[in-house]
Amino acid sequence: MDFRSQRSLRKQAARCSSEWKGWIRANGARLYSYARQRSSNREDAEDMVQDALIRLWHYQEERGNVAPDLPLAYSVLRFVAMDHGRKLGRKKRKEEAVIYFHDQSELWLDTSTEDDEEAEMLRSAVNQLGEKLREVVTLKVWGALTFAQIGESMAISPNTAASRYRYALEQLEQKLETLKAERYG
Amino acid sequence: MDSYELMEAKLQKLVPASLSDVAQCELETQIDELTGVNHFGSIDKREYLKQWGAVAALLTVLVALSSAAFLVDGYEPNGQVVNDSAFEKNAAFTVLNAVNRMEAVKEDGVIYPDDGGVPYFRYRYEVSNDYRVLDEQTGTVITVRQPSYEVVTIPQKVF
Repeated sequence: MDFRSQRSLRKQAARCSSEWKGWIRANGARLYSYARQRSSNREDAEDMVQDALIRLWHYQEERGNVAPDLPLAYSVLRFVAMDHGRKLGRKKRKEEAVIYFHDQSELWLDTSTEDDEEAEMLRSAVNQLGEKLREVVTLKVWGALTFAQIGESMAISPNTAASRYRYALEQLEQKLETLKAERYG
Repeated sequence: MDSYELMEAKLQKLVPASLSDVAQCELETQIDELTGVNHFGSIDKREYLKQWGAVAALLTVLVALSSAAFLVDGYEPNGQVVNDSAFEKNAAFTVLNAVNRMEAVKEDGVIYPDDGGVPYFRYRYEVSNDYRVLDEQTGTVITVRQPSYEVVTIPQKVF
């Protein structure tokens, strides 16, 4: 290929690479947080994010290779998580004698410097929420989505997303009160 | 602030764990592979100059051949005697325009080599390289059109 054509293609690839890298830097943490809620350990969650990135790239190839919007990214990540769960289920059936430890300790950033006991109890309460409620809370509080976008991502109506969110907050408040009562009497 | 807003404020203080540095690097490497940005590498300017050198040589030959016709026939438009030094004077020319046109692009999709090698995306480009040069001595404008057919392959990571 001659110099000019190659230079043009190279510039195009560099521009695309830069756009996608900027997107993953801005949203990687959110996607990981979502994936981590649906997996048993860090490595699986990171694999899921990478798998989702590849699927998103191929999906966006027909749309000018622009970086995807967040609701689409979460949708794809959900499918990846379901696939991953199915594969893990098959693996467990083949390896009945293996015990899988679900490591919840690094779901959150290092909290050893925090003195706030309430924060610790709240983290525990979030981890105990049902899957659908925890998903809505994750997408709304840390996922930077609106109720409309959550609805689009989870294939539910925005009203249903908002209802689940309110119900999740009520549950968290009750759990927090219960944990405080148990700890302090 | 109602109870919902209070609970929201408490939740927003919690910071979920983020991607590890290793995972972040792996994702960015993956992006480079998907976009094929590393495929093109750096272009050697000498290759570029070689192309121009080849064109210059071709044009010099063309001009020399056309001038040789005058010598063989003994014909010179203005009636002056043409001598050998005229070749050196006619060797200088100015590039007026250089255009590379992409005539067509064809995407062949993912190709799986028969030898079991790494699959790759294949794109075929029909390119036309047009050069217009001016011979300042004679005022002749020469257009050289060079069609070429380029194939770009982008290796795909296999999962």
